Amino acid sequence: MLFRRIRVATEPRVLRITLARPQAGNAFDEIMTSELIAALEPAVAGRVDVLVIDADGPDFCIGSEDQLQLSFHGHPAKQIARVPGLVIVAVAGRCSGLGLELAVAADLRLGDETAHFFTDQLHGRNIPSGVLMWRLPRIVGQARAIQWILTGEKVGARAAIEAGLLADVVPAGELVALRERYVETLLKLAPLALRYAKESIIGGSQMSLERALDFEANLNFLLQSTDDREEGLRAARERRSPRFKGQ
Amino acid sequence: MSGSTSIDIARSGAVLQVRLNRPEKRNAISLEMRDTLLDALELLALDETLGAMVLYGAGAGFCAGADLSEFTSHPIISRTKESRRLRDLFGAMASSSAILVAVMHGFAIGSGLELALLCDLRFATAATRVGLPELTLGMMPPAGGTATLPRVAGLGTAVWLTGVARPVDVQDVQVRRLVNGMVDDVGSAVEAWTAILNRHPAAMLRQLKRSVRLHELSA
Repeated sequence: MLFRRIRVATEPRVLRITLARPQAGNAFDEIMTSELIAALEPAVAGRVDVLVIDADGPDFCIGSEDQLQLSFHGHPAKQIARVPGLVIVAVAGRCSGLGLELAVAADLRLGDETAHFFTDQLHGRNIPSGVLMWRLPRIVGQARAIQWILTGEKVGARAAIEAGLLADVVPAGELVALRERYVETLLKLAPLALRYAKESIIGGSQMSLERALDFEANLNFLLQSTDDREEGLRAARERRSPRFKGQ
Repeated sequence: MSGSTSIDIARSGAVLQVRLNRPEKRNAISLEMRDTLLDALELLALDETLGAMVLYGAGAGFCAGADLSEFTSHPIISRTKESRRLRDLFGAMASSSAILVAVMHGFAIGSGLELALLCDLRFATAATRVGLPELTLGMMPPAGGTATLPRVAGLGTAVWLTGVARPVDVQDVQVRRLVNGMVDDVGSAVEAWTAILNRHPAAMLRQLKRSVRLHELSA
């Protein structure tokens, strides 16, 4: 499929999507929205272990065009939130509005020191979607989330990593190398264990602590039937690197 | 108290001081130690003159995790689930009506860190390393870490620490939110917190815990 607003690269276990509308700050219009939703499909279906989203130009994404009606196209952030594999976003420059929603729907937010985050949607037409309202307080805590959403203040890279919004920060120019280090690290892990751990972290945070502990235990029992668990324990005893197969 | 030579339990007023003491195995939690810890939690639940526990480790570090030498391959999963249900240390910690405090030093890895995350307050000495290496072993955190870590440090930090699956310095910017404060050394921190907790009657400690924490459990 030929895309006009994004670029897509597929590897056996990794799907890479680049927002490629830098002249408009990677703001979403209708074409970009439907292209991203189409491109996400293999990741939503669980056919890759890692999804990487980055962007061309100085800004990750400044939001969306005023006339964009997301309800007609589905919501890309909601699709990202449904991905069972690990989702990495690499953020430079501005990340706001719909861009911020994509970022919080991901699992690991990596940034360079130019990265900054804000939402000014309360001053415009739209209240931020449920993705932001649900995820942001669970990422940075309730007090910060309410403050950031109400004020629209710009949160720089340093404040973002201190709050837990960014997982890692590097100097400008080193974001690609950082991103690739994380992809490499994640691909070495047992793929099913990675998915289940994510499912437990995200899913369990919607439950009481009591239920979340049971949920984690049950996912652990499922993993005990996998070849990878046996390989992992055997490799640890033999003091060598494990060879996981994803089953 | 009955049981393990690998766990020392002392009582000071309303506070139970529990020391993991198997330094030759880096305080790795054996099944016997898990059962002794569960006995301590049951004592806290039953003895109303107790209101808090301070958990810490002897030797080079707090706890290196579960004792992998006791892990079996191809277990009968339904039986594993039943034995977990019958000896549910992590559920007992999460639902304890006592205030639980962990003082970490050296290392708190895997289930060791998860024990600390099940406590209400965590302290650490400088250069303590924390980590969840389970995903490199074909497993996921088994002792409540995926449930407690997002509640303590947020979803992003929870995925990050689980995903990097290696020990990191507790003072690193990504994880310093895991602890409530840094302490100079374990022994004096244990005594200081025992004294702070003992300023209040056991019933008050329990009331405080119920008011601020237990709504999370079944909310």
